[in-house]
Amino acid sequence: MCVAYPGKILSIENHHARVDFTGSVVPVNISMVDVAPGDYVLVHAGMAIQKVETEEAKEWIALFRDLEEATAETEADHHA
Amino acid sequence: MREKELATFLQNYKGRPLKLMEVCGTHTSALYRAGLRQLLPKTVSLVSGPGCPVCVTPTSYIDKLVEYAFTSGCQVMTFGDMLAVPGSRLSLAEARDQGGAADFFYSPEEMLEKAQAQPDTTFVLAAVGFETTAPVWATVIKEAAANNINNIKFLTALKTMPGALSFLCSKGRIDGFLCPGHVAVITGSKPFKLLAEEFGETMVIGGFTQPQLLRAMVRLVLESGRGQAGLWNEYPSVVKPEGNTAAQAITSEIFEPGDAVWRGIGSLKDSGLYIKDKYKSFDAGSRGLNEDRIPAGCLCSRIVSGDALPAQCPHFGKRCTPEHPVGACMVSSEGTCCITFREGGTI
Amino acid sequence: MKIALRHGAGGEETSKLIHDVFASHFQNEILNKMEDAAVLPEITGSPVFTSDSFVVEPLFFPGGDIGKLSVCGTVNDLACMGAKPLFLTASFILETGLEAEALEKIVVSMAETALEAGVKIVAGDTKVVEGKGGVYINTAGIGVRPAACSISATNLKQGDAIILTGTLGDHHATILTQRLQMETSLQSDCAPLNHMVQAVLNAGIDIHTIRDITRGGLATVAAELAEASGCRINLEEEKLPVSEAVKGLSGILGLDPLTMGNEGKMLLAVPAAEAENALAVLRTTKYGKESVIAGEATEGTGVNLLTALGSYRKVLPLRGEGLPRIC
Repeated sequence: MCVAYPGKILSIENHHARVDFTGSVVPVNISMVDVAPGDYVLVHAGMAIQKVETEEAKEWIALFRDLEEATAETEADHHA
Repeated sequence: MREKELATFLQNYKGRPLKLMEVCGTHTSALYRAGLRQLLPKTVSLVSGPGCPVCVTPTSYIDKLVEYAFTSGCQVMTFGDMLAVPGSRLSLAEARDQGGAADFFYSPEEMLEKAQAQPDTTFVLAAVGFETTAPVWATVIKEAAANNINNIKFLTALKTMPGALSFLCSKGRIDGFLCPGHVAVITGSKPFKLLAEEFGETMVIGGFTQPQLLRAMVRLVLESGRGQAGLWNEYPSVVKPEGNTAAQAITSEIFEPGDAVWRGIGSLKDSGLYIKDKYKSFDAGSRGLNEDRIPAGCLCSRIVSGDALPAQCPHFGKRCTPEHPVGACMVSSEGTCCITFREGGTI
Repeated sequence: MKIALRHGAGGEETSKLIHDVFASHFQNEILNKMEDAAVLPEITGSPVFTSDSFVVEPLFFPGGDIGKLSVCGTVNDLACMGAKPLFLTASFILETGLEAEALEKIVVSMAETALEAGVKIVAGDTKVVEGKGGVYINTAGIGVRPAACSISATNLKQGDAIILTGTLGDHHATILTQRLQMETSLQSDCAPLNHMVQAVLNAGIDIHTIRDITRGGLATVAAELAEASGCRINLEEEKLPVSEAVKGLSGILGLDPLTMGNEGKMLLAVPAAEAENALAVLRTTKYGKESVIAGEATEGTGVNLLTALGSYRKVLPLRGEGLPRIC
């Protein structure tokens, strides 16, 4: 069961941080990540397993580009 | 809205028929909640592999926990959804109804404080999961050792994905895999890339929100549709090529690989994680829990490896429903049969 | 002072407890008579009667307590039948060890909620058993509705609009945060909704069905209604109101807000033509400001959700125990 969810770090004390999940604040063990207050972390079973980077904008662009190429190829095949 | 375009792509897919597999219980339920399966045309089937840690654990594991629940002085603690899983006789929830000591926690780490507060009770924790959860367990065991908290023990049922994926790839019947996003956070995308290259498979690492899953599924259908082998990472906000090295380090500090029995598949070499000798005083007897009591006619074993569909099982929907489940695939809320039954259709 | 077995023995200590704690806060001309039973004034219309028991843990939580809950629960059940709630009984089973101060807080809360709802608590009982300071409350309630009123689950019709009076899962989420001892901005939405329902009735709207969204959440309530009425209920994912706080909590715990209960929200089914009017009226009321039209009843069976991606998926009622003792 790999339920993990992103939350925002409010404060840090040693290996633990108070993490806000849009209204509920939970103590999270951050010994496996390198983070600072204000960062977002992905939390699983009370531990932060990764820092969350910003939006996946590049991936959306790449996917749409590849889809368009694929559609163009298919149409070219049909016309040939 | 661009997401509608992607949804349309899936619905209008007219390429070659595809058999795709996802191997993460959390993906199974996220796909169901997002309504993504329903967008796929009939030519694309998406089966659920052995991604539900509960579904692939032999009944003897639950039996051992139930035994502990009835042992005076012991308190069994698990993740919430494990309470309902039946062993060969009882589930932990049933054991609790009969006076056994079993309850759930949200985070294993909070159990350390509890154990310190109740030194006369031995806490037995059900340490279940894949690579995502292994480092959490490793951290807790290390902290228990460091703080001399000796009334806490761990019954492990930890498994790792690459072995299972290798096995599934080698059977050669799957056209593309949706790879477990949170496992990949820990392991990195590299192991999946190597598998994709070794077996010439199409593999896509996906996230869990509706937009992330939509993107991953479109990539999977697009690339496996045109027979492109390789690994695509559609969850780069948290999945890096090398993964979380700190998590990998603490996992290998506490655990070592060993053979493990995957319900329905059998024993896979080095696909399990076991507590190392140095920390063996924390082990509640995790090795050797291989016996599995599968009810006659139950097809869970073949369903979990993508070889059969729930509808092909003689018990599905008749003797075996979420209200009165026969096999693990129906009991677990992330099991293929349970999800399929709830969707009211076939995969 | 802690409650002890002698407080429930029926003697002097019981009388003093009743007088000091219960009677002094539940004051009204019927209860003040302190007879063995309450003689009620004549009622014109169909009497409507219900009972509910409350075992929530913890006793006090953000947004309410077991006392407030016990009045709201019964008042709302009566309101769901289109009845005006009138009189309540309140019976208590107290465990030894309970602080008398805590009991008084609960009773004050009940009195305040009863006042807001416009109901009188006219009879009750108190027993004490051995335990660890727990409290169990049963309230039974009598209300009245016009003889011609036919509000019922079976009255839901194809074509009806499904209205939700606010955000889902608030009560369940709040109790969870207390059990798991989390800091939170979440509050239980526990509230008496009879005035809200009355406003819609007074506006002449032909309400077919009302249900309060309690244990098991919207998924469970909708499934019950679909079965009782022989209709299918379609809900639209993008219209379902869920607060950011509930989303966050259900996110980390892997729960679905559709199966998380409330104690201050209702589902109303009204003819499609009257939906906008009903919505306008609801939004003028204290507890209905965030009302939305979230779906419709159609031909078929079961409950479906139109996802944001444009596909339909089934919605099934909560299975298993969910979380015990949330109400």
